[in-house]
Amino acid sequence: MKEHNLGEFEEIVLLAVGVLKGEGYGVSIKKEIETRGERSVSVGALQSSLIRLEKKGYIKTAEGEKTQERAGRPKKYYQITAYGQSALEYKKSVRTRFWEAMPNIQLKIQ
Amino acid sequence: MRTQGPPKYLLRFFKWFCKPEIHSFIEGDLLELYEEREQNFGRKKAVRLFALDVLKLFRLSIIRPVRISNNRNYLAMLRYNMLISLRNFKKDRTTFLINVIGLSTGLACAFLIFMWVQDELRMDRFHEHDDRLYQVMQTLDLTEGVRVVDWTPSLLAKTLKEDLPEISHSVATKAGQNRYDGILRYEDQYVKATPQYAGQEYFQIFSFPLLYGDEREVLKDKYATIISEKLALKLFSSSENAIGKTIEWNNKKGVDYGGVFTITGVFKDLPPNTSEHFDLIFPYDFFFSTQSNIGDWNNDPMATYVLVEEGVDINSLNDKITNVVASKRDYTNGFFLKKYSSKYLYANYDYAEGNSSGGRIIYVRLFSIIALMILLIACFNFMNLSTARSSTRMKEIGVKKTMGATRKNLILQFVSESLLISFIALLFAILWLTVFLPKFNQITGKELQFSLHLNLILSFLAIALITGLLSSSYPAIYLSAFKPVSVLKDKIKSSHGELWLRRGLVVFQFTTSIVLIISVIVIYQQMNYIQSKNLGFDRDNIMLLKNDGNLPEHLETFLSEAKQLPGVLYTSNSNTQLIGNENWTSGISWDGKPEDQDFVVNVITTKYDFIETFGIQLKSGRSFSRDFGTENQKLIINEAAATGMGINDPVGKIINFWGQDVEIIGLMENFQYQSLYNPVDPMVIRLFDGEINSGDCIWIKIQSGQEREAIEHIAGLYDKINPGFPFEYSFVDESFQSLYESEQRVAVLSRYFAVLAILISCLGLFGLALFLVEKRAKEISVRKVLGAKAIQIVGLLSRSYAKTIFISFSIALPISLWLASNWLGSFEYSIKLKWWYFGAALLTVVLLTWMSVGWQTLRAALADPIEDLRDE
Repeated sequence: MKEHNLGEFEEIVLLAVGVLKGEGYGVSIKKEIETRGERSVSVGALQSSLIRLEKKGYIKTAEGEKTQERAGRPKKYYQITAYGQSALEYKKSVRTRFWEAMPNIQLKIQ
Repeated sequence: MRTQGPPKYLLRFFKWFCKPEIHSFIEGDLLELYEEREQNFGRKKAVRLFALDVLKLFRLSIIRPVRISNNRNYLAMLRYNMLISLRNFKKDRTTFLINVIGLSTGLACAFLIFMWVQDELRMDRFHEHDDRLYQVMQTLDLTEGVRVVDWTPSLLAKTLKEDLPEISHSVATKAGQNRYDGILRYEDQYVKATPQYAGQEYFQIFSFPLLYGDEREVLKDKYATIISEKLALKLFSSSENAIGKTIEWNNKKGVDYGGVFTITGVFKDLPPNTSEHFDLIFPYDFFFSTQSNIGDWNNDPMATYVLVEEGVDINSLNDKITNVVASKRDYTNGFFLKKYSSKYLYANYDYAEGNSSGGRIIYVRLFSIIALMILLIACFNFMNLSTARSSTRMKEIGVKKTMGATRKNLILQFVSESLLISFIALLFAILWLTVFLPKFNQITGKELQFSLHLNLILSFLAIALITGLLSSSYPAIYLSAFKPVSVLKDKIKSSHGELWLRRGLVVFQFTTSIVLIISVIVIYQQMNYIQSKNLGFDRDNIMLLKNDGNLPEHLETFLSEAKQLPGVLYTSNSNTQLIGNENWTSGISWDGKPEDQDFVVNVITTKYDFIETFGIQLKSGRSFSRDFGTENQKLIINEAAATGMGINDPVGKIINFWGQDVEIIGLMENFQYQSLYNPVDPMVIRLFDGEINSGDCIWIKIQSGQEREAIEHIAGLYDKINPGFPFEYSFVDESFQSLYESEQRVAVLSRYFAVLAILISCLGLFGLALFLVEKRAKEISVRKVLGAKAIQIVGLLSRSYAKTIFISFSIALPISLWLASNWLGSFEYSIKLKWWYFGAALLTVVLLTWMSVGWQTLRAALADPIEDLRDE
């Protein structure tokens, strides 16, 4: 069943959006990925990934208030949809199936 | 603390490419990140990261789509435009052909010159340390002016490196052009080769790669030598074999700098873009040991090259070098460093101040301008023809506009049409280029090659593109501005401004052509004048032989036997050439010589009969003669030397020359032995008698009319002494011509370009006339019906051209006057400008114009009026 089409980086972004419980916007998602995901991410990569996720229906957006600190630029908040949630769960279940089937491997050194 | 915020232009750039609907959110994120980073890392790093972020945002999902949505049939339109263009070309073949021929010729000229200029600019610039590589120049403060020379004391290179920490490497090589080919012998093979004499660090300073040998070691030993790959292959069939072999160089009794040498290295053949030329190098130490007073700081036998340390201030270094030399010699001359790679293009210095006065760079600029002019002439043809013929396209434009075409669409159509033509022209231009490149190489003495180099192709494409855009600019704007109503009602009339512009373009074309014609005439007259000028000595029928092989041993015999041959008048021998001689010495002094002023003379060392061979006129005194016993302590000087020394009646005076007291026995009239750019320089002639020293050049004066016979006899005699040697000779007038090699090339090239410029202009005029006559056919017919004579009609049609030519001529006259007098002013001896040069140019243009226009007008005037009137 190829219901969900979610790339590796997209999965991380989606997870970060989920973790932030609807409070996530560009910068906070970026920081979440950088701290929890232990990888750096450029604004461009993040934004294009968010746009793609929104197009696929995994996340929805809400326009936030205008604040002083951003020179009056509004924030865009992202929230994970139920469909997005199911995509994450599907991904996880696929992995779990593989892990359960994995024999105990002993790494032999030489 | 208020932050400054990221640079505005980055924000603007982002706004420009970002989708408007998401722009403000992303910008907000960017600003927030920026502020945080600025506080943490400072502004500089924050800006850099910001710029990086912006760049990384340039992705397909974020950039705004290119807006072509409002005409989806964009491609269809382009294809349709193309079709219309092709139909138009077909309908009006003459215009199309004129455009293609004109543009392709213009482009081909531009390409040739582009390649040539690029090659010239690259000359000598390939050395690894080019930016630090300098040559030491000397300024001589002479009575007749300032002279900048490239010869320096032989010990200068060594001393500079020891005394000045700013100089990291230095090398001395033998100065000037007086390096004669010599004979190289390996076992029983003899090869002629050009030598260079250089110090140990030569290969560390100049990037001539060595195939074998260590660049620090190769010139260490006094009897070491390095040969070129070509020479190695010739003598040893491989460069590897050459190492360690022993060769003999000019190893004959009585020849300077000869000996037995061991090959320690092989260098890769010199690249074409170097101004150096030599086949093998001998060590400086060896050269030093062959010359008696070479170590004297008052002599300047060597050229000195240095590598300076990085970041050194050249001006203060110049002063230091001047001081170093001043502390060693009795008088003070200025020394300065000249960038080695600038020597090729900026070789000349003026006499008044000693400032750089250009050199080959003048020709580089000149030809760049000429190429541009020719290309412009071709572009103007295109502009003229397409605006003049606009009436044929009016209906098309009108219909298109009423159907909703915007002005932009139309401009695009015309631009693409002219780009199409210019790219067709480009193909032809490349064809011309490949056909004419060998000829061009022959004229310019270059080895240019057309290869599908990316850079070259891109440059050519760019030139073609610019040409296309330029020539379409005016027509596109002009044609697309028509109002559809008036166009469709046939109410468009040529405005005054348009007529003026068209006439202005033609005037430009003709002005350029006339200036070119006048320049060609002036250059040719001056070259002729130089060839035929009485130089004060006789340069005809003097044969030059190289003193090599067995000749040096049997020189006296050869000279006296050759003189007995039928047709031979005199024979002599000297150490250097007479023409172009640069064998300077300052080792001359006399009673009353001013302390603070330098005096240098050219010196030639000869055997008997030198003055007679060259027919040099003596003002007073006598020539060297065998009747007076040994004359090794005597000198003959020229008038310039006498004036320079301030001695009025020099004959009989005793002066000091090279440390010896010598008597002046003769005073020569000034004769021009250098290029006519220079005034006559002081010269002394001394005699060497006896067999030990004999010079490189053997001179034989032949009676005119008996050349062939005499040459045969001389060849026979030569063969007896040098069996198996090729009998190679040249004549003095040839070497005189070689002084003006670059002028000759300019003369030939400018002639070709002038012809091309005129042809393209006339081609355009032809097209214009053809069209205008067609357009006025009815008017002419009506005039004829009403009784006008053919001659009156020809007059009517030619009048405007006459006016155009007249205007062009009056603009061209002052320009060419200025150019010609400037160029002629650089010669010490030059022709006077004569009126007929300008008259001839005018006549040429009038004739050519009449030929291209006249035929049309005549045909129109003689046509049967009924033909044109009946179809209405």
